[in-house]
Amino acid sequence: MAPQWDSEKPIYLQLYQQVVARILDGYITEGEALPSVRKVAAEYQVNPITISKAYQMLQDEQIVEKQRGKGLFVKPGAQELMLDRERETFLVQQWPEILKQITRLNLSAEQLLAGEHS
Amino acid sequence: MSELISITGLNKSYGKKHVVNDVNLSVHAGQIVGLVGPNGAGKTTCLQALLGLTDFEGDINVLGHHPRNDREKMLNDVAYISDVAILPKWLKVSQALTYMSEIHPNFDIEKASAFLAKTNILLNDKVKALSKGMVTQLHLALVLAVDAKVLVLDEPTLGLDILTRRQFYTHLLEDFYTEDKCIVITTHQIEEIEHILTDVAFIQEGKIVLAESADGIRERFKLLAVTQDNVEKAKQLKPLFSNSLMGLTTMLFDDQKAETLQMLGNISVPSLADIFVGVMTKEICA
Amino acid sequence: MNIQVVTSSIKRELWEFGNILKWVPMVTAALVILMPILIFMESNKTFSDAFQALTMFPANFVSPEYIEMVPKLFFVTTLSLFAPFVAVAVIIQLYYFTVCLFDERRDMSVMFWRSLPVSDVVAIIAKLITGALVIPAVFLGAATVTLFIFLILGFVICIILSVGYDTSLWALWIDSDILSGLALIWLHLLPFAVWMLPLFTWLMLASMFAKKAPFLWAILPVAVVLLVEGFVVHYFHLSQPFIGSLLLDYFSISKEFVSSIQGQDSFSRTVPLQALMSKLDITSIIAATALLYGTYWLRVNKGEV
Repeated sequence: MAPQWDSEKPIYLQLYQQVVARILDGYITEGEALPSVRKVAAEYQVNPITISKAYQMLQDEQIVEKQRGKGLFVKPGAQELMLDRERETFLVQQWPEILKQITRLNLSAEQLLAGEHS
Repeated sequence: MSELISITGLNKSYGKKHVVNDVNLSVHAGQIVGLVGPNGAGKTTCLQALLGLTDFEGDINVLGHHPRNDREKMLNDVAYISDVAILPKWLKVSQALTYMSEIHPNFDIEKASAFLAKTNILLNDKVKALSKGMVTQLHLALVLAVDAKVLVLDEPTLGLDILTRRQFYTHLLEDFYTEDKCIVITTHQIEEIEHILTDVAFIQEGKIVLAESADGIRERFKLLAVTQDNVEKAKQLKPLFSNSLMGLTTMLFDDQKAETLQMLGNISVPSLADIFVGVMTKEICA
Repeated sequence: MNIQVVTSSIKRELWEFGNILKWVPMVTAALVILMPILIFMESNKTFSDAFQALTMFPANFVSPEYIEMVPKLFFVTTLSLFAPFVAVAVIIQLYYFTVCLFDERRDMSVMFWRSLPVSDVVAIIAKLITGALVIPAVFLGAATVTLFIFLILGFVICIILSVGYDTSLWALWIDSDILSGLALIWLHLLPFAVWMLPLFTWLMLASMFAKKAPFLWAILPVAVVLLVEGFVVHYFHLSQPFIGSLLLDYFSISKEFVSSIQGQDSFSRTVPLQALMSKLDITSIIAATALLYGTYWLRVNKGEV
């Protein structure tokens, strides 16, 4: 299925993020092979160069590795790595803003967590 | 990457009508170039000149061959699918396969048969018994089996239902495309192939009005949503076109810095269709 | 130019006209076989009359003075058997040449064919060979088969009737030189093609040139030229229309030739062949080549419409 791409971000970036999300959520496991560039290009109706770019980014970020003659495989420990990174991004970039908002609205921890169960 | 197609100073007139006017185009290996333009813009003529199907003025070089003088050798590595449903009605599928395998040095009959086996096309069918989508599938099978280096597609999906259109591009990307080949495609359905293209060329009244890589085009053009109070200021920056609806005006800008525009409203990336309409309209009004 | 490519292109032509080439010869053969039967049924003779005639038939030819005539008689009979096939073949050939370069332009399939690595030279030569040699060969083949059917039928009938001259029947057949007569007839194929070459290439040119109605484009210019010439000759009291008589002479067996063979004492089987050979002429071949080149030029330069 050709997904609806967000027109704001370059497609290769969106694809990168999609793979990362899938790894984090456990849909793609460590040691699993990524589908070939061709297959993804054909499936998503996107040109293969864009797909290659996304795959290259995944390689550069140490999330996948190339196994000679066999393609790209998710590196062992990638999920942990991603989890750490996302945690760091969240704690450094997003959390301070949210914390400010919580303080501004004078919400207590119980109120915040209660909202989750209701 | 190596240049597979080089067109310089292409001109063609039918009598007094100047159909193609000084067109320059260069296609490298790995590129999927969309030649987009309104009807009568000269797209088909450009492609026909490329294939040696019509005479022309100017220089064209395809894979090192001249399309008229070196037609046969060039056509060993070039394939063509056109919307004008051009497989003859009396031809049987088996006859097409036999003929291609006998006259085409690069034709792999196994590949073609394997592809056809996945469709509803039978070997004994005549082309006249096939639906439009199946004829395109057959033509695609023949082209895939030739494994051409240059593929020229002239509105290949015209009149096909969405399922067949999707399948066409799927097969094109999965079974045909590699980084040492190139594809030149003309189509009216820009939205469909927007993400498949690596490069775009807009053609209008025989002239190329824009030629840019797909990434470059998205960086160059910006869509700005301005509120009424900023409209005048924005107009001074000379947008390509502007469209007002329900209190919000949308403007398309070429080569404007994001910072300049951000002060006036929300910027977003326009779709290729938006850019096409904008550029074409500007050319008409200019 | 590759032999394989030419052969494949000829095959392609035959596929396109396959139906015509299958059914027309068969129908002609059927008519030729049925004709004598129908004529026989039309007349009031009975079966016994027919059998009597048949039994008399071989007896007449065993005597020495007739032995010489047997091959010639068979030859003439074979010729008359072949005649309807040849007539039909010529019609089909003329039709083929008129449409061979027109149909593919009308349904736009020419763009498919020309997007393949087959040169225009090969394409045109293949069409020429198909029309000038292959199509008539198909009809000659059908005629040959019909001949053999007749021979076998005749043989079977003779055996059934126990015509008592079995051994001399064989001798009769051997003397009649059927096979060499047959070979002689087939030999006419090539000279006939060369003789008709200007006509064939003219039709091909019209087929290539016409945007519509290639047949009219083939006929009308010639008709107009002849008419104009006729008027000019009549008005200026000139001796005879040049072009008109040129065409007439070319396409008919001349009177001089007929009188020359009448001088010979006996009918030779090679007479028709000699007639054909006498028509061959280098200027006509040059004219045909020029027309063919014109056709080629059009296909290369204006082939897309």
